Amino acid sequence: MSGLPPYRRETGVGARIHRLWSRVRFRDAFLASLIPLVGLGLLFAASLDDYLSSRDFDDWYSREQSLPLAFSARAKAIVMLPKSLHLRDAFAADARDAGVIRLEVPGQRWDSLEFEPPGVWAPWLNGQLRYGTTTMKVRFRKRGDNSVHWLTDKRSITVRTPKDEFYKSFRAFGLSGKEVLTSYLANQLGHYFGLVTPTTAVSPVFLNNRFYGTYRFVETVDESFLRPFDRMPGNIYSGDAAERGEYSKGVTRGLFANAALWRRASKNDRWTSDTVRQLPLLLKDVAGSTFEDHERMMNRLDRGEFSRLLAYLFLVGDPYHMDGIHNQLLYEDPSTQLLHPIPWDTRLLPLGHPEKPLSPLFRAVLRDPLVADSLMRIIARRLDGDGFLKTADSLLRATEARYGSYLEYDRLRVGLIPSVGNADDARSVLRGNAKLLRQWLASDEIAFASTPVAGGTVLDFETRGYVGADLVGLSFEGGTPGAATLRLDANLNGIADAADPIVALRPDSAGGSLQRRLAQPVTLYPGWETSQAAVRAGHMPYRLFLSGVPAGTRVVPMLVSRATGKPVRVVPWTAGALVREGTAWHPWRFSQPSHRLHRLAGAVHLAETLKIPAGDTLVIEPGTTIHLAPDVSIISRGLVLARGTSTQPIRMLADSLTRPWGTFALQGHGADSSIFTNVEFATGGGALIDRIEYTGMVNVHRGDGSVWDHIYFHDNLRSDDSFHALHSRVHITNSRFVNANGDAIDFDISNGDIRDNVIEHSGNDGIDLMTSTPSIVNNRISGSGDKGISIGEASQPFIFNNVIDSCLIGIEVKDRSEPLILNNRLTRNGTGLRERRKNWRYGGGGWATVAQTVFEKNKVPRARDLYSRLTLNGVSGLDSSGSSRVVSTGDIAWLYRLKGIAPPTNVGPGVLPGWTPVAPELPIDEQTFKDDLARVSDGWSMAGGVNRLEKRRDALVAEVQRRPGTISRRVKWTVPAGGTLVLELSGHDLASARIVLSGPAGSTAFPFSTGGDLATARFVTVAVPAGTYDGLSIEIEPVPGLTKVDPKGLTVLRGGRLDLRGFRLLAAAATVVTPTGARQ
Amino acid sequence: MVASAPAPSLLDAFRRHERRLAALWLAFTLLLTLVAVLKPVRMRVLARVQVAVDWWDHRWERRLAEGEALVAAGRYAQAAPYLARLDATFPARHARYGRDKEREVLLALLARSYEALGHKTLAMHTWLGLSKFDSLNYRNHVAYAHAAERLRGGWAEAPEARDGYAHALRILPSHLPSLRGYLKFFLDRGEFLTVRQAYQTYLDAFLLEEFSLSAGDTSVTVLVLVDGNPHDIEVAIPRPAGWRGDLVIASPTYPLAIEAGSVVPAVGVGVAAVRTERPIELASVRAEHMVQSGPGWVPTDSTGTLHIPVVTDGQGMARVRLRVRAFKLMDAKLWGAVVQSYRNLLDGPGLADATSRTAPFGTATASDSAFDRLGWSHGGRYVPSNR
Repeated sequence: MSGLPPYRRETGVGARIHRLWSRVRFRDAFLASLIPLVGLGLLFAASLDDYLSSRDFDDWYSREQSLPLAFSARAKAIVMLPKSLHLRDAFAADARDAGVIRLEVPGQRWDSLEFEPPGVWAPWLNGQLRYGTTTMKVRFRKRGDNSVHWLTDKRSITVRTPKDEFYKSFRAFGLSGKEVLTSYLANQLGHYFGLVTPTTAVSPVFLNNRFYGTYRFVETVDESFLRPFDRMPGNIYSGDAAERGEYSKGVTRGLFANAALWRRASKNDRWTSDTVRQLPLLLKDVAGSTFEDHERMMNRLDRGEFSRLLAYLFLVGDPYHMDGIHNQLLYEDPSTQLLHPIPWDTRLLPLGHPEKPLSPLFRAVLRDPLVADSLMRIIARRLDGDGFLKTADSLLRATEARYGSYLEYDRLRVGLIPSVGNADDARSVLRGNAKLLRQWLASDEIAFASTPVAGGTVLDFETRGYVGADLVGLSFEGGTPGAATLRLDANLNGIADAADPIVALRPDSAGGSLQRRLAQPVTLYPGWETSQAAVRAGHMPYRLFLSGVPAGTRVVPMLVSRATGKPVRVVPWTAGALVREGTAWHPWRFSQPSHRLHRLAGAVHLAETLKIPAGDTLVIEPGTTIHLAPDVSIISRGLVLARGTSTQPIRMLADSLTRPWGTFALQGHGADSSIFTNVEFATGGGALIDRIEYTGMVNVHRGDGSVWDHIYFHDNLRSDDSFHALHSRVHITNSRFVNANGDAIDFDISNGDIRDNVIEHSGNDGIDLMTSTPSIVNNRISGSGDKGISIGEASQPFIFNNVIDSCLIGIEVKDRSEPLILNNRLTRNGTGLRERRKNWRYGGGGWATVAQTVFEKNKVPRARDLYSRLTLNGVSGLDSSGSSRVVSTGDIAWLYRLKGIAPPTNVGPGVLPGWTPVAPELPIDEQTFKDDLARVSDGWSMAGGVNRLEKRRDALVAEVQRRPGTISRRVKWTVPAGGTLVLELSGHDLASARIVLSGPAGSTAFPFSTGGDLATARFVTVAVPAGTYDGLSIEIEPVPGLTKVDPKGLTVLRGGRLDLRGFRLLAAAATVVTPTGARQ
Repeated sequence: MVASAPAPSLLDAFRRHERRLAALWLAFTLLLTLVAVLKPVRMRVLARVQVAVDWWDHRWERRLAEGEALVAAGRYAQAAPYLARLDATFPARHARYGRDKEREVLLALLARSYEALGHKTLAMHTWLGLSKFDSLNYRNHVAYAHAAERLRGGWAEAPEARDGYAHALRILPSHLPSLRGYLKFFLDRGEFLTVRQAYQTYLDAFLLEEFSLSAGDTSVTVLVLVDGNPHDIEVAIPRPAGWRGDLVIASPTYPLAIEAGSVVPAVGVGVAAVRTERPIELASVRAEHMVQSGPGWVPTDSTGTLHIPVVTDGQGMARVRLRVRAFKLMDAKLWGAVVQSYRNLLDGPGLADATSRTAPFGTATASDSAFDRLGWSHGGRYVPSNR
């Protein structure tokens, strides 16, 4: 045995494997394979489930799904799981970010989004929404028009708050999980084009404190949506027949061919809206094939607005999604009856790859060459210097910087959830669109033929590019033009005749005697071809006649591009060739202003309504008396000059003792700066003309700068108001309003002056404001059947030096209105001042600032609901006893300076006997707060015992518990001569508070008190020493030992609270010499 | 004596080949993993699996087809319970689901089976369920109304039928069969005011239809409001100088009338010639597959056309302007009843207006088959091959 070599255990890898393998049993192999097999099995089962779920639906998304895709998506998600979990763990549900949405929903309820009851689609479910540090009850449901929104692990939902409470300023909003970043960008860019566009934002959503996904926040379009745009409540026609299984089967699905498919997302509740609705009329015009149909259609639309809309849609590459099937929203403005498009669900797409023809509406609108011309000029401006691309880039950068990690998490899950898009792709698409549109801008070819005929030369032009040209001059070769005459073939009859206007030619100093400049360039608009999927350059012919040019002279046109201002490419046009019909309506067919003058003088009897078109002027001579037959009106879209005198007033009266005439109305900006002096309006009754309702005896709709001086309005019948301004700026002075049927003066979304007027015995309100900001100064209002001044729907008037006497309610402040009521006297009214929430859509009551005002002999001095607030200073008679004690919290000289008032000396509450207007002073710095999705506290930070700091509605709310705390912000103030710092605030349960200003030279503190009522704010005025400051802080200390019972019934600590409405810093008061010689 | 060796048990065999089996098992696992990892292979394999899954998923259509066959064979006693069971488990619980059209067919078959078995209440309940399942499908309301006529009608039409037709008319206001059923209810009761009002609403209902115009080798389509009122249309149909031929308007569905027409001549580059519209002579308008009825021409089949002879002059033709009336569908019998209603109300002006806006077909069958010629009227129906 010893001869044998010693046993040596083989130690190579192969041997090891062999040894290992020799010990393997089937059980081991089975166990080893269990993990991959079970994993694969689960993966397959999940994929199968995904695929089968998609088979339940029949839309574009579900049709795209397949088992291999579902498997790949699941597999990829598993591979990415560690990374995505790691990312998700870093997301804090309580991060201080105003854009984060935090929903709390019991799991079972959330699951019922998927397993809903039979026959019920998307029932509303209850949940909670965290709003800063508080919580509000909400209802939610799944949303979307196809299965991409509800099949994946990231469902799109709609959230609705209670009527009592808004989230930020929203009652309802959608959270869409599809193409979040790119859709946000595409829709947000609409805001830069002056369009009525819903609010949109990127919002990370947490569900039960766990990150659920990044969503696109989108505002719901309803009546509330119109408010921030200062639009009157009106019809919003909504057209959506998209593939959701819930469309009307067996009918025409085209929205522009089937009026029955439309509904109203917002309803105009006026009776006048119950007549034939405009929508079918629009659809008929859109489908029309004659020029008259087109002109009627364009009169229903705002040409400029459509140009902006289309420019925007072309830039983002998606003029297609607002199509003939869905995404149509049209707002009908009651003041004009114009229909305004609301961009909806715009995508970011390459413009060079059109997917289908434009909607019938867009095609019809683009047959207007003025629209095509205007939109190309807008695009040229937006692309100049890459402005549009820079805007988009900054939006993308800001979003990525803010929510990049949230988006990254979603990108790791793509396949399981819809794509969220990415910034580089978005930039690339926009750059591609810009490149293509620049090619369009360079497409400016014009065909030209100059043909001698008997009596002159026919000049034929045809635009053949995307952009048109201005004919600015003519150059002559081979002869001097002499007394050349140029005419347009404006009536398009092919020959020169007397009806064709002459275009003046003048010598061109630069070109010498061989060139002539046109006094007014002749615009040769482009005609577009939109019948195919791709929008193409079309053609549009123009004919001009030239005479007075020697025979044999060659005419060369001087043409510059409408978009770039550079000379265009001119190609010869063969004489005798057939002139093609334009691919758009010929611009010379559109009616032009006639600029006629209409005069009314002496005794005039109007038996039918007089309509003055835009561009014309109506002059009413002094001493004219116009008797109007029942329901007969005067509607002017042009300038009106009605200048009566005190001895020869103008009068507008009814010719019937029993029935009122209609209305006198200025309609549109053509009537801007109309003047009325010494006019009497009586016994008018309002009217409904061209579908526009005129609720006043005298109306101004969308007209600015009209002057109404020494007007006597009285005894209007039937109509609501004696005078009604809607979307206008008007000046009413030295006038008298007596016996108004409803309101004497009604301002809706208007501003201007109401000064030195007497308003007596109005049936309803003396002055009624909705979303208006007029100055109401030196008026005397008495005997109103309802309010002396009614301030509603987010109005912000300045009410100064008025007497309001013997009205049911002196002043009423409603619905987030914020009037400044200064130096008024309210006496013998039923209620002196009432504040309340009337219309829930505004999300709160009023917040009036009342200063130096006397309330006396009112039955009830003040009434206020839970939703309203008040800032008081120097007011007497407003407490429950109506005592005359003046409650003052400080000097308000700064307020007079701010409003441009030099008061007399010894200013006390009540009407100022003498004051002079001075130039208003601008604050050096100021800040107010509006809750939004952008920032939590607008630059303020908290420290110490402050445990809550957030904007809530119109104030910055700070809560402090247990120990003193500070809220502060950085400032950059230099006040060489010192200044006045004014803070408007309220608070409760604060043991002490002080304002601290800090700068390089040290800190200065100013103690103040807040009062104990959170709903009653005060001004805290601080004299700021000269110097430089870089920090503003407010130190607050809670009253110790306070407790409260929380909603769960537990006794918890109660802290102090400070609500800061805002601050202003003004320079130190200069020495002002008042008329009485007093120094201030 | 040699004892016979016991036959090797499966376990023995397994033990003997355990290593090999383990190797096979691991190879199988590896293969599956490779299939899952290698994309081209995975896609092919899963695509095959998907075919099998799709076949399995089509079981609902197969089951529905079985039910259809039972009903078609008149085996209602078997069909009713079978379809009821199928309905209870059918996956489309709401019209938004993809198999909504199949479910509609299913409910209709079930209701018909109940009807055939004499279960009137169950049948009505099922028809009602159908109309609620997709309340935006006017056909469901019409089916409900028809059922109400059959099952609830006595000496006069049942109110349920009236409501069903009214519902259908709200969705498709120009649906003649629904109008017919709706008017019948009121005609039976002599409520002529309602008849007049309903007919007026029908005439005014917004309905746009595309008509084709052709001249020579050029053809264009134009939308016309179908309400019996005159409407102007203007289309560019360039024709060379001296061209003569017919301007042809095709109307496969709706009656049509031409009231006026004119031709806008073309113009040549540099040619200063007067460009004034010339009226078209309408006396020689010729109809093919259309017959005169009232103020219009009624198509007899889908090839109905009106031919307007046009002669261009030396300038040729650029555009054509026509004043046309397109009429809603109506049949002579119903129109007679409507006329009687106007007369009973002594509404002469109303009757004159309605008459000028109505060109009735000879029979209800003719007018209803004209409706069936509309492409969109077939939308939303269940077509088995589509899924």
